[in-house]
Amino acid sequence: MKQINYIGLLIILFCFTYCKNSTPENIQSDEDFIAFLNDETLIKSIKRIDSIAKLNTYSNHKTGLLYFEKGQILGHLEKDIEAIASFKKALVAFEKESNKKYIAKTNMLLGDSEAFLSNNEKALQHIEKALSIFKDIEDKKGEAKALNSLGHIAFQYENYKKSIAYVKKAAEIQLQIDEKEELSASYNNIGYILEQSGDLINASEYYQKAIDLNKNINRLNSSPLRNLGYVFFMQNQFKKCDSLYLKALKIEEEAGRLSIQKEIYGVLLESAIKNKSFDAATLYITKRDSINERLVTSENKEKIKLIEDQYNLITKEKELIQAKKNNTKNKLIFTILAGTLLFLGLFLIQKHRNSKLKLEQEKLVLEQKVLRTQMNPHFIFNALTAIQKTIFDNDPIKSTSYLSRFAKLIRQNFEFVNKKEILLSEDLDALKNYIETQQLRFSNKFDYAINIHDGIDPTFVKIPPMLLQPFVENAIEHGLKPKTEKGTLEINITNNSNVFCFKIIDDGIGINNQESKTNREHAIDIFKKRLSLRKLGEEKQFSMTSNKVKTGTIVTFYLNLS
Amino acid sequence: MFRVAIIDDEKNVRIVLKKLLNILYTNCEIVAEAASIKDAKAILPQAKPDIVLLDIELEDGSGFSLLKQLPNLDFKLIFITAFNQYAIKAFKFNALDYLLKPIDPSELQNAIDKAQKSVSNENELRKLIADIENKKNSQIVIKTTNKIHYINLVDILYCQAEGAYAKIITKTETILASKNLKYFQDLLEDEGFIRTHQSYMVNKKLVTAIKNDTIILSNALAIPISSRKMAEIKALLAED
Repeated sequence: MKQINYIGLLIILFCFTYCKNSTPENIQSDEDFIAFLNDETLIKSIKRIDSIAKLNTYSNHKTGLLYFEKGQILGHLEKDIEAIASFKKALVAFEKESNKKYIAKTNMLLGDSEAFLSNNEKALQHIEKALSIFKDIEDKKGEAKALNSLGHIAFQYENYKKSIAYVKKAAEIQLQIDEKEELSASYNNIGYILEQSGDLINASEYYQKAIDLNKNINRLNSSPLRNLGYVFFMQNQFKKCDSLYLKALKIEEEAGRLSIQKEIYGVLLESAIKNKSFDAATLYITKRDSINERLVTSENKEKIKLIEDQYNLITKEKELIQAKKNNTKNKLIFTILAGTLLFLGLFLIQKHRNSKLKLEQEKLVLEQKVLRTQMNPHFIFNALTAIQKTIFDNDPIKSTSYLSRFAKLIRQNFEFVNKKEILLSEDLDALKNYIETQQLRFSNKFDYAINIHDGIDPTFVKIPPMLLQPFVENAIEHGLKPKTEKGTLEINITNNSNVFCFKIIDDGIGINNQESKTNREHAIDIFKKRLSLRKLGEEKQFSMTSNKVKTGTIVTFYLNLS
Repeated sequence: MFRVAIIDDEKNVRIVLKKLLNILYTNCEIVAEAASIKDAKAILPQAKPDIVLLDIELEDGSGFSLLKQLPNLDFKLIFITAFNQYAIKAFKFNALDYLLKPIDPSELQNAIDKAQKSVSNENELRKLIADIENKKNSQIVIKTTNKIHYINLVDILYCQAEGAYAKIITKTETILASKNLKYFQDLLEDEGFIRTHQSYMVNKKLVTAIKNDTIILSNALAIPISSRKMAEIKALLAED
């Protein structure tokens, strides 16, 4: 029991430490915490974040990060309204924390989401705020980003001047901090804005800047090439256009972006047509069609994959549901089984207990019956009368000793009846007392002898108490008492190793001549029951026969005594 | 002089009775002694005893069976028994005198004195013996100072404690018996009587209703029920 307690304690301790280890509060870095928040897919990640948020209370920073991450994921899923709500929660948390960097970052993302929803005013507010904070904390990278975003919004308002001013500022910063990729992107953007504003010359200049920069840093981006190429296309400078587009094509073929390749071939085809170079045009058509085919195939593949994925998802879900069902089914079966087993167990225990109780009760009843046969009230009162009679003999010593012997006999009876086994010598002592009391009652109407085989030590052998007494009583009351002449009673005890033979022999009137048989049968019944409770089969060897040599009865039984 | 016969299978009892009678009475003559039905049947008719002291358990049968076999029962009877619960109940039912072993000298004297004063009624005795043998307790015998009442149990409405005595109330009469209510309770409990109250015992067969704290008998008499016994009595009455 103690061991089980220990094991239980260990398990609990283990669980506790294990749980503690997995507690997010202990995750120190922001990256680890965000990794902890994320799951396989975006949707799963959101569910995970929600459940984590529900189950835990965190510091302001972690709460902020949690909603920040959730907003970003929602943004990826294009659920910008929800993203905005989440970002606003994050903002509150970060503001409590006064974490300027994250306040700015959150404002940036809020701005992007609002812009996505075409809420340009709100977007502007957020980004301007972000910009001022980035400036404040001298986050140049952030500042450039914010400026880019502002430029984008100004472009949305078709305020090209302002837009260019913002992006140029961003490019300046990017140049300062040597962010070449971003700088290239900014140059391209500036070119595009200039192109839209109609300033093709300046646009070409910025496109060229971007192209040169890309070349320098080996950035595989065809956007400025194409943009510049298209400027040449519009200016009918087809050769320049084609050369740029072919460069772009090379990059795109390397990157494997089919849709852009198709677009490139489209422009090349138009250029060839306008240039009246029909051989090239035929080539581009075939190329474009083959790309288109590949694109369709790959799109179809993607679609099929998507359908497959969805199918898999559905089957998986179905399987999951089935498994869940099976699980509940199994659980139910298990519960029923366990219940049945428990019930059966309890039933068996109860039955066992009942049978045990019944046995106990049987033993108790038997004990009482033994006591009653031993302490036959008829014998008691007649024996008392016999003692009463001796009083009239005017021999007080004799009367008193008779009385004492009788008292001793009763005491022995009460003492022995509850015992499973007593010494043979004790049992024989009680038996002698009984026989001598009976002799007094019948004025020495019979003689008796108890013969014990030499090898038996009565002070060592133990037997169930008072087994002999009922047969001795029978011999006296029903065999010797009605007999007119003096009789004899003989008790012989012999043994063959552990098997002891008991014989009670009388020369009374014999069992066939006796008046009442019910008492005797009752006594034999109890005797046999007592032996059968020992479960040694001893009751089967009991016999009561007529004495063949002279009149009288012989009772024989065997006991297996260790 | 009065003549006494002793029929008992225990020699010691016969010796003790003889010695006691010799001490207690100077005018007592022991005219017969027997241990069995066989011997008693042979001796009694010639011995002509006034009083027979008869053991229930004899060597070859019961004392009742001896009585049935005797042609004349022109003597007064005092039964003796060591331990026979049934016989003792029968004696009580029929107000017969009996002695228990070992013999108490004063009880012996009481019984002998009463027997000397009473008048023997052979017919009654034969009927009683038949009832006892058949284990029928349809009647109870109550001896008062001046009369012997033979009361059918069905006629008894209730018994009521009256100090150390008890009143037996039947449909027609009220008898004051010289035994207490407990004595009658022991006798009648197995015969369909219920002790409803410290002072009352009613005949279950005549109960018609339970009303408030009382039992209503067929003659509209209300007998109190003690509150402690209410549940028990309701259960007992519900048995039939």
